[in-house]
Parts: sequence; C-alpha cells; structure tokens
Amino acid sequence: METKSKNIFSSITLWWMLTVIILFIVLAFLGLFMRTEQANLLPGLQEYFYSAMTLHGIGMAGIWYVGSMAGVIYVSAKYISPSKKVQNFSYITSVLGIVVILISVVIGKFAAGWYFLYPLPFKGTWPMWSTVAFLLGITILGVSWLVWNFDYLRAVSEKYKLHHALGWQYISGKEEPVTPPFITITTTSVIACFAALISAVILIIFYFTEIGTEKMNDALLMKNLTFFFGHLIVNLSMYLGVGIVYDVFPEYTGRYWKNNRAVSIAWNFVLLLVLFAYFHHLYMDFAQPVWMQYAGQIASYTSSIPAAIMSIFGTLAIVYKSNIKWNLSSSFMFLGIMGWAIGGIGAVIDSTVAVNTVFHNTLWVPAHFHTYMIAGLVMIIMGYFFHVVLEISESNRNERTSQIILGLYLIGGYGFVMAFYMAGADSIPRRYSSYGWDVISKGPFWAEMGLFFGLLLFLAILLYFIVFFNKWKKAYHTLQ
Amino acid sequence: MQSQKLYLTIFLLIGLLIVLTFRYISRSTKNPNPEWVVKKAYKFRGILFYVQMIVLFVLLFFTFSMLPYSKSNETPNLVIPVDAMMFSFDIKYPGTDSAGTGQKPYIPVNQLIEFRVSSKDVNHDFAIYSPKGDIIAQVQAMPGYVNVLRVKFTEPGVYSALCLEYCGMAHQIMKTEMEVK
Amino acid sequence: MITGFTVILMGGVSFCYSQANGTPPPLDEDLFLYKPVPDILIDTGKTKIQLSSLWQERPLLLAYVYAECKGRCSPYLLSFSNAVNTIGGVNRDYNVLILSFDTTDNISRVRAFCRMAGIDRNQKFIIGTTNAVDLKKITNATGFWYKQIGNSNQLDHPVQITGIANGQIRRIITGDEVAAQRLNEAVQILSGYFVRSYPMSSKNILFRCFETDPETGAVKITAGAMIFFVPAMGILVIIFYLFYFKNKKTV
Repeated sequence: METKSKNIFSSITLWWMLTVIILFIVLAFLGLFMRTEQANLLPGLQEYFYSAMTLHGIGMAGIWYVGSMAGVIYVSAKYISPSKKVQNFSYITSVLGIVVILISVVIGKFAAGWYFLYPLPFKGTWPMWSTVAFLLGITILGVSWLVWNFDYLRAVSEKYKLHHALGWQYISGKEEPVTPPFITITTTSVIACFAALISAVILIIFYFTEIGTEKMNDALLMKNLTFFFGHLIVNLSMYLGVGIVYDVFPEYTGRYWKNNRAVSIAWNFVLLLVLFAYFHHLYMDFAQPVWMQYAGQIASYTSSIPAAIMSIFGTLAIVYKSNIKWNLSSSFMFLGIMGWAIGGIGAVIDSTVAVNTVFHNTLWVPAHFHTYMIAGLVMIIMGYFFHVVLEISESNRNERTSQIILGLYLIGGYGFVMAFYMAGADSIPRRYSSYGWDVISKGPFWAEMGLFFGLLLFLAILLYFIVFFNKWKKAYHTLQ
Repeated sequence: MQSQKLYLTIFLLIGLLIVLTFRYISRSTKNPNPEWVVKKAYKFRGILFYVQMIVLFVLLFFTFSMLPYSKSNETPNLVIPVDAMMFSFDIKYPGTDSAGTGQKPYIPVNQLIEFRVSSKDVNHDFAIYSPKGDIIAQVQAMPGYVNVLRVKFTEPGVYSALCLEYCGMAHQIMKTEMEVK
Repeated sequence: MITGFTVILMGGVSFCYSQANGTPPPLDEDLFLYKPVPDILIDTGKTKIQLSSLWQERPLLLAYVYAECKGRCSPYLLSFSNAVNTIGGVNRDYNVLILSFDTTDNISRVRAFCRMAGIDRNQKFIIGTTNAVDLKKITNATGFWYKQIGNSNQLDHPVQITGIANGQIRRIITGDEVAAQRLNEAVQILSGYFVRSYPMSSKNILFRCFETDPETGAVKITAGAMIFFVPAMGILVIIFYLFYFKNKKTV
C-alpha cells in the first residue's frame, strides 16, 4: 500500500463518514417501513407514512450530498487547501440542521414531503411551528453548505485561474498547465451548486415573507424554484461522486485519467445543461411556457451525452484489460458507474414529455432515482468511504466478506428498484401510503416485492457497516 | 402494446446491454494486457458519440410531435371544469346543478373533452386511469392557474381520476370516477 | 460576502414586493364559472335589446361603470380599451358591453363618461343602462357588488370583466388593470379555442413568474421572471469576487 503524507482532513472525514453511514441505516429503515405500509403489512402505523417519507427524502438527499462533498474535500487535499475551520463549521451546522429538521418531523409531525411544495407546508395537519422549524432547518443547511462551497471555490481560486480550473486551456488546444480532471469536475459542480443553494435561499425568503405578511406566492414560481434547487442538489451529488471516481479509480487500475479537450468540453457543457434539466419536473404544469418544456427535454437528453461518452465510457476504457485490483472499494465504484448508467436510461425515458404523460409521479420516478442512488452514487460513496478508512488505518485492501456484501447488495438493490419500475409501468402512483383503489390494486404486490429485496439490501448495508466500522475504529486509533 | 409496457421493455433491453457491457469489461481484467492503452478506445468513443447524438435527436424529433400541449383548435364537444381540493375532485359537468337533477352525468365516448383543471388549495394532479388501471392522461392542478387537458375517450367504461401530486395526509384517498358511454 | 449577497437579495425582494401592493380583494372566479347569465333588458339609448342578443353570434365581454365615478372607473376603462385595441376584433370575434350599475344614470351621461375615459366611437363598444331589478339580477349572477360611500354620490365597487359565451360565464378577469394578455386568453377561451393554461384572478400574489406579450407570445421580463436570473447572477458575483478580485495576482 502506498504511503502518503497524512491528509489534514482525515479526522473530520472520519466523522463525516460515520455520520453518513449511520444516518443511512436509519433512513433506509424508514424506506423499508414505507414499503411495508404500502404492502398493507402494518396497517396500524399508516399515519406515520408521510412523516417517514419526508424524513427519508430530505435525509437521503442531504446525506449523499454531504457524503459526496466530504469525499471531495478529502481528495482535494492533494491539490488545494480548503479551510479546516470551515470543514468543522459545516459538519457542526449540518448536524444542527438535521436535528432541527428531526424535531420538526418527529415531534411536530411535519409531513409536506422533502421538497415541501408550496403551499402545502401552510395547509397541512401539522402545527405552524413545525413548518417554521422545517424551513429553519433547511435554512441552516443552506447557509452551512453555501459556506462550504464558497470555501472550496476559494481554495480552487488560490491555486488555479478560473479558465484553468475549468480546463479551457485544453479546449483551446494547449496541454499546459495541467489541471486534474477532478478539479475541473468539482469546480463546475460547485459553481452549479451555488445556483441551487441561492435558489433555496430565495425560496425560503419567499416562505418567510408569506409567514410575516399577508402576501401570497405564485405557486408556479415557487415550484420552479423548488425543483431547480431540489433537482440540482441531487444531480450534483452524483457529479461530485463521479469526480471522486475519476481521481481514486486510477489507484486501482494503474491507468491515469488525464484531462483533455473532450473531458473539459464535456464537463463545461454539463455545467450549463444541468441548470435547465429541472424543467422536466414541470412537464405536466401546462402553465409553464412551452419552450421550457422543449428545453427541458433537450437539456435532459443532451446531458446524457457527456455522461455516457466521457464518464461511463471512460470508466470502461480504464478498466478494460487493466491490472485492476478488485476489492470492496473498486467493485463498488465500478458497479456504481453501471448503476448510474442504468438509472440514466430510466431518467432519459421519463424526461420525454410524451412519456412523462403516463409516468409522471408514478413509481417510475422513484425507480430511476433510486437506481441512481442505491446502485449508483451510494455504491460509489460506500466504496470510496471504505477506501478512505483503509487508507487512514493503513489496512490491507482485501476483505474476505466483500463477495457476500457485494452479492447481497446487487440482488437486493436491483430487485428493490425493479419493483419500482414494474409498478411504475403499472401506473402505480408514488407517495401513496396505501393502495386502496381497484385501479391500482397491483400496488401492494410490488410493495411486497420491493420489501423483500429491500430487506436483502438492508442486510447487505448492515454487513457493510460491520466491516466498515471495524476499519473505522482502527483508523480512528491510528489518528490518535 | 400499451405504451407503458413498451417503455419498460426499451428500458430493460438497454439496461441488459449495459450490464452485459460492464460484465464483459470486468471479465477482461482476468487476462490483463498492460500494453493496451486507453487512447486506443478514443476512436470507438467518437463513433459512440455520433451514434448517441443521432439516436437522441431522432427521438427528440419524433417525440416532440406527441406533446400533450395540443395546439389544435378543434372545438371540444364538452368542457368540464374540475376543481381539485384536499381530498376530492369536484367535476362540474355542465348543465347539472350541485343539487343534482336525478340523472347521473356521463362523458360521451369518442368525443373531444376539455377538462379545465384547477385547485382550491395546494398542488394536486388530475390523472385519468382507464378501467384497466393504466394512466391515459394527466395534468397538474395548481392553485391560481387553470390548466386545460383535452382527452378523447375511445372506449366506454368507468374511468377513475387519482391525485398524483402529494397533497397531505389523505393524498392516497383522493379519487373520483367518470362514466364514459 | 454572503451577508452582502443576502442584503442585495433582500433588497431585490422588497423592491419587487412593493410593486405588487394594492391588489383588490379577490373574487373567486370558480364560483361563477358555467353559471347562467340572466337575459336582462339593456337600454342602449336608441333601442332596447335583450342581453342574449349580444352573446348569440359571438362571445360577450361585460364591464361595469357608472357615470359619476371619480375613482377607478376611468383608468380602468382606459386600460380595458387599450387592451381591446391591442388584441383587436370587437364586433367580429366578440362584443363588448359597458353597463352602468347606477340606476340613476341616463344613457347619454354614461356615453359622455366613456368618451372622456378614452373610449372611441369607432371602437364599436355597446354602452347601456338597465333597470334596478335587472341590475340586481346581473350583478348577483356575475359576482359584482357596489355600495354607496356615506351620503356622497360615489359608489364603492370592484372592477372586473366578465366573459360570457352561450349565456354562461366562462371567465372573469379581475385586477386594477386589464392586461391585453389576459383579455386575449379570455377571448380565446370564450371562442372555444385551446388555451393550454391561464392564471386565475390574481389573489394578492407576491410575484407572477411568466407574463407573455399578447402580440408576439414572447415571455416578458417581469419582476417574477427576473428571479430566475438571481442564481446565475449570484454565481457570477461569487466567481468574480474569488477569481478576479480576491486573487487578482494569479490572473
């Protein structure tokens, strides 16, 4: 194992990783609970469904964003120097934000969904204070992450000129100075992330304006802001994860991912497209100008091109006939890219306006983004987290249980998302606590299927946690 | 084939292709060849790029002719305002009073029906399910806006409308039925 | 930096916010949609006509005014007449009736008032009065109200355009001004054309996001639409601050 000078973010990264994995287990459990409710197996607890859904959604979106970002910070120490104080600040404020949201949902029974679509937060059965608390929690996270992103970009700006960070020298045909693809990818993603966080801030200001005055908001404007923010933050988590793969994967394959004209063009292109892709959430809002609907489909389609041509094809090329060392980390990351590709197909199909007419808000939607997440980003980050604990604890990279974990995870994960796809094709709605009507009578069956595979997946996650936590403790002691 | 199943089949086929590709690549590492350099794949990548571009643009071209935002100025045979609210739909069949005149209102088959969908409170969605349980059309019901959905029911039967935008604790019970004959 | 940005943002919000003040109390259009309109008798000065004769061949747009109004009637009529001029088509695609809701008005005074408010004779608007019983019927049916202010001859009242087709209310436009875009949509709806979506009466809304130009169909840059540019501008501000201001030396 190669030795490196100690990464200054080792300690904070350890805490980030442990927090993310533990919250992941709790939130995955809530996911299983939801599938259990939908399968009619626990009829007494139905009233908790939508609160669980809210917490599961905001929690998963949040932890995989911070998981990716924490991973990015750890990798970035090779190239740039983000502030250690800011890392601690972001960790503490993120945890605080989560606690406030927990209070709002668990005690206040807030259940407007993680995307809290206006004006539902004001019209629910929960008390006003829980809405305020939820919005406050979101505000804390928003500020925390703004600072985090700002500091990352500051660190980039101290080392690179903007056009070099974005890799424009390659576009104009020069090879010097060298910018690692990791820097180009994370810089574009972090810049786009500002757009997401700023729109979240505007959204929150509008909410508080309505609380403080008699004014009401335009539902269409609020929906645009909500999905611009929500879509971007989840989408960018994936890109940050891919950035990590670009940097870490070569350690296993021995082949290096160089920045070149194609890579730079692809990621600069992505920065632009990702800002317009969210339009596909509003296809069924006929009030939205039609050109936006066209633009949404074009942006969604074309953003798949750089992903497929550069990142997915690149991963395959770098692995092909290489001397790769397969272990839990490299397998998870490699298969994570595969899950990203498969989820991407599901997404592109649904981003077709004509298809969206029959798939919008059916279980096809959670099907594709759970593929992105479970089979994609989560695998990448779990693989990467394992890589980091091994690196810090200076352990051997071979793990005997990895075959079992991997096998269980794949069967559980793909079985789980397939139950969503099949249900989506059967027009089963998403966000239903139960399927009581005749026309959607296949819902409970697919929920049972999902639950069965979900349990296998959960088992795989628990096994992963045991193995991970073992190494984590070792890493923790190494640092002391 | 019904459209949902067609899309599912396309997805499964492409998904399978991706799995097989990844499997092939990971198998290739059993016989490593350090001589092989990534640059050799660039030509293939170029081909892939053009293939993907062409496929996507052909698809864009075809699917853009199927948008639900009809520009046709065919006069609808029947205009029906629909108000969504927590947690029901109020379908205001023309010519019927809320008091009810005895005869149950119905929707004529094979005629152009225009639904003017709005919401009294939060965002809802008006999704029309065929008697067999497939979505045939839908539109969001947004407070402050009237969204216009045009549908031609080609088969008689009892159609359902469900809410497909999460609207609160009883979202899952929000349903209405429409008889087409 | 971030504080500064938030301040700019708050400033922007309060600026646009102040523009949206002063909207009238809302009328719930839904309560009136597809309700029948009573076929009252209208006195146009020369002849007396049935209201139904005005919606027989083409849809009808109905506006209420009274001749003594020193308040919102004149500016409202002017904006209505401008909107009508923008979209065109009176007496071809639709009829326009200006009805007095003051039973003491006589037709020549209402005419004179309309003329002063900017309604042109060639605009082919129909101007009329009606009797007290019929007035009550029509105002009740269309959700319009008025009441005397103190002992003055002034009446308190909202402003609205009621769109009628085949004797039923199909659209009510409220708001202090008649936007040509709203009127155009209304005429299309009344004529049975496909209008994908239209906003309902503005109910004390902070910002609208999209307003389109009725002539070109292009989205107009309004305060609401500007909000979409804020994240982009935020990005530019941050990038310039970090890469070109704070770290000038490296450039």
